[in-house]
Amino acid sequence: MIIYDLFKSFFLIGATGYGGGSALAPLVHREAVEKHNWVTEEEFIDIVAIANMLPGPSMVEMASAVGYKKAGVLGATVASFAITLPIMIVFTVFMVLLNRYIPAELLNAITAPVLGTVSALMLTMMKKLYIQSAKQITIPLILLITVFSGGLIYFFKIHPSLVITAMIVLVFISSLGGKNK
Amino acid sequence: MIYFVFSVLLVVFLTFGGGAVFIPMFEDMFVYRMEIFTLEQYSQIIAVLNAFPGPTGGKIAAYTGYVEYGLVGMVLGSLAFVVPGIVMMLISYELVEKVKHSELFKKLNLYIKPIVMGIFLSIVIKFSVTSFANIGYLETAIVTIVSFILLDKYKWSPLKVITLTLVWGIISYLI
Repeated sequence: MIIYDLFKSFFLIGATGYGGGSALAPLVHREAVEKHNWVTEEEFIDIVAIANMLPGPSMVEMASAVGYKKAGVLGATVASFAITLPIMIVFTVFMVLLNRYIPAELLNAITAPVLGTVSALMLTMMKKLYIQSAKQITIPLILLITVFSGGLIYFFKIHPSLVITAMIVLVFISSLGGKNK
Repeated sequence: MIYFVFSVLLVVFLTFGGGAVFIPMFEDMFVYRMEIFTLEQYSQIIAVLNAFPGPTGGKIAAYTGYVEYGLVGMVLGSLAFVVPGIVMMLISYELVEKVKHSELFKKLNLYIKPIVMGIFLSIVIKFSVTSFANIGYLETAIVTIVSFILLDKYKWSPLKVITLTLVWGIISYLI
């Protein structure tokens, strides 16, 4: 039954998730944390961070981590294919059969506003993370790290995996310093 | 055909983070190196790519497989795109399980949330800038704010809000 639930949830995420990659994280959070309690909040954040550090498709990596925790290798496989394969087939069928009849402008005009909704989804997720984080570290520190890492990624094109690696190194160095004191 | 599978695997292993980053990576592979598509043909794929949900790179890999080798190619392209992510994640997951209870990892976890927020922030900026160019400042602001209120205050499901936005997209196209 868990296999069917995994399939259903990740199929739904793949079929409604616009924007690609980490932009699907709020949808995964809703299904895997809020609705089904498959992973905890802490585990979910670790999964998103790991998916951003690894090469390859983030949404596959998020799906396989959740699926693996609940139902082993089978769960990982089912979740990963449920989030990707149906839409890859739909896209291929569209390109082969329908692309010459339906103008790209029409499709893009209809789906253009959806990026605003994806932004809103990301913002609701950020709000939840902010509330959780405010219980653990000070608010100025949260804002500093968020704006600094967001700025590095967007304006300076520093890859998220490098930002996370830098933080790991910083925490490691600071903990070494702590032991010496 | 083996060459095609290896080309997809190579792109998957060289692309970090996923999403739109796959577009220039597959362009380099399929247009310039393997010459499967002309730039114009590739542009036609990219033109409709984001009108569909799901994996950005996966859609390109599956369709390219079909163009080259039919249904078998589509299946191979899909497998080559999906399987490496599963394997890499499972190895990482087991590694993290081993260090999960260390002091260092617990400390790291305190700071990983704001970094993920930073990653999300960069996506929000990127999507907003794209949306400004597509539908203008006013409509972008309205869609984003209304969606946020529906999701956050009225606890609508993302499925409902996304459907509503697509319906709005159809209406705004017609008028």
